[in-house]
Amino acid sequence: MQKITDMFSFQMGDRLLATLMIVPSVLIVFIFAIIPMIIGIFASFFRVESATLEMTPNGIQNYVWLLKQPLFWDSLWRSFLWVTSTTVAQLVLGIGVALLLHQELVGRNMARGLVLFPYLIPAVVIALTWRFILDPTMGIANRMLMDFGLIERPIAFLANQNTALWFVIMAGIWKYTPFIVMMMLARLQVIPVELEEAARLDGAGPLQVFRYITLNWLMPVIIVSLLLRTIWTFRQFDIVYLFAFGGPLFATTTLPVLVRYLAFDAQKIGAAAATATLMLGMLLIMSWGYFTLYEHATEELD
Amino acid sequence: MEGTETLYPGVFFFVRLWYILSMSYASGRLISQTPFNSATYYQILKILRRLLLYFILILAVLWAVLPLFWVFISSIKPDIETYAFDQTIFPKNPTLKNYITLFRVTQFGLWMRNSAILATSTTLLVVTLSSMAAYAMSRFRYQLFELFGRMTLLAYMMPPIILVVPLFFVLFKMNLVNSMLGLLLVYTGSRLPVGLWMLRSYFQGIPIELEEAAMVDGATRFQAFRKVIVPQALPGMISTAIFVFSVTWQEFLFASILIFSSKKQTLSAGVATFLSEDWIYSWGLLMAAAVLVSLPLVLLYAFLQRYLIAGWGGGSVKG
Repeated sequence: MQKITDMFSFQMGDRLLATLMIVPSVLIVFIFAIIPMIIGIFASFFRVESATLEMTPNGIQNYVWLLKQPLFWDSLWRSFLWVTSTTVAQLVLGIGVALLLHQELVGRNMARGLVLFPYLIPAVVIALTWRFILDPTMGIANRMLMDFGLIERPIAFLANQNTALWFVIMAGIWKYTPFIVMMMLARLQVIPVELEEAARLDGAGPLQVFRYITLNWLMPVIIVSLLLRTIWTFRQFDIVYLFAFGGPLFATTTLPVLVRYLAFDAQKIGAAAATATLMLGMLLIMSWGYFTLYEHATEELD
Repeated sequence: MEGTETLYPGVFFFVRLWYILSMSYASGRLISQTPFNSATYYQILKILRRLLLYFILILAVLWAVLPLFWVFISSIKPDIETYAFDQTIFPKNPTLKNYITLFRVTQFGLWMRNSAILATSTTLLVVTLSSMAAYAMSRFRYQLFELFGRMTLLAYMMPPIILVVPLFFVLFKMNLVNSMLGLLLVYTGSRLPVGLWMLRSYFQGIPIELEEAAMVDGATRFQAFRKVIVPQALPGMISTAIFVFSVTWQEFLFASILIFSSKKQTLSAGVATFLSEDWIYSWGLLMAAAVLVSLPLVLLYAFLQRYLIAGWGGGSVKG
């Protein structure tokens, strides 16, 4: 009898302890992440006075207004360009560099360390670095191009509406390719040698070995990195914003930068919340798609 | 085949070269059944392949490092050299003047202190809270815990920009706008989900027999957690700590909007004000700021690299 009550109290103690251990995290995550998210979605159906934060319901008016703005569609297009070009370039370059660093080369370990450097650099420093290099009056890029005689007078790379976004994309590729390299190297290091050997014995050529063995082996990691990079790049605010503060003439305004602009410069908090809610919806769709892909890829591997 | 080869020997040389390169590239070494017998020809190709690989390697390293090298060099150049028409790779008169001015003239030192306080306290808070919660979640499978896990995953994916305006609202109600405590809580709330997911998989990998043995020896569950499990999970906790510290150290968005007095500002948001349109500082000064903002992260990485890679490789990529 004694024993049973002991067990019972032991169980209760466990449950209490587990709850006590998890409650602080639950509270903080709820107050500072979940509830703000709910407020954000909620606010997209209200008219919000920016001075007093007073809210009056106005149905789907924010969405209607937003979808009529060419600026919204332009920003969506720029977000699409920014996400697809940075992610694809990162992936291709990242896999290439990882394969290279997987070879037995002298100085490989040092190169592995050095190649990862840009990943450690904070967004504000990235913006400073590239603004300095691309500066029209004294940036090294312009000076070198002029020294080589490629251009006659300096180009204001970041002040040009047509090119500004591409330089932000370049900086995004520069910073995040190392992440892909890291993921791919980790996976390459555990590739079973038998797989490649067997394929070669079966008469597979080098390209076939790469296509059917190496690439297949990397596929789950490729999909995971694609998922992570797409989500992060899509929601990335700091690099894009600090590069040119959304300008010139909105040329680098992607969706997150648009949310900031609507909320704090245009004083349309309701519309900003609507944009943010649409972004959340897009993120959920993207991640659902990738999870399906991931399950597919891992099944095939087994 | 033979006939066409004599017609276009040059083309075929490149085709062969490409074939050998790609073959050895994919296999990692040269294979004996190549269509050539000549040992010297074979040797030349081998050397060419290595040269090509080294060339690409150097290119990749330069692409990664050169911009940062240029930032560092420009930070120790006097203004005359930074703005000179003819640039030199190494400064003629290296100087620390930019760094001294940075601390004397701007509030950089203050921002650095603020960022250090915020990043350290956020890291401690996140690692403590998330290892307790992750332990509870890995050992007790209640449905509510599972639901919480799902919600944190959602919170992890959420774009921070969505949260900024509502957070302003929440902090306003709690009277925590423009305060470092408010920012600390916001940072903790937004990093906890990552910590939870990194550490949960780590705790799941620690066999439950370890703490059962400790409890048979008379330890309470919490003692077992503290004395047996935490030391086991230390590498995971360290990699979580490095991750949280580095993202908090460089955070820009929340700080730039939730803090509006310059004295309470963090590094990223403070330095970003240098970039606003009416900036009056020299590029040398900005480059010195850039070096100092990056330095702690680079040092952290250099010293704790192996934990970092263990965490990234083990925690996030399973399968």
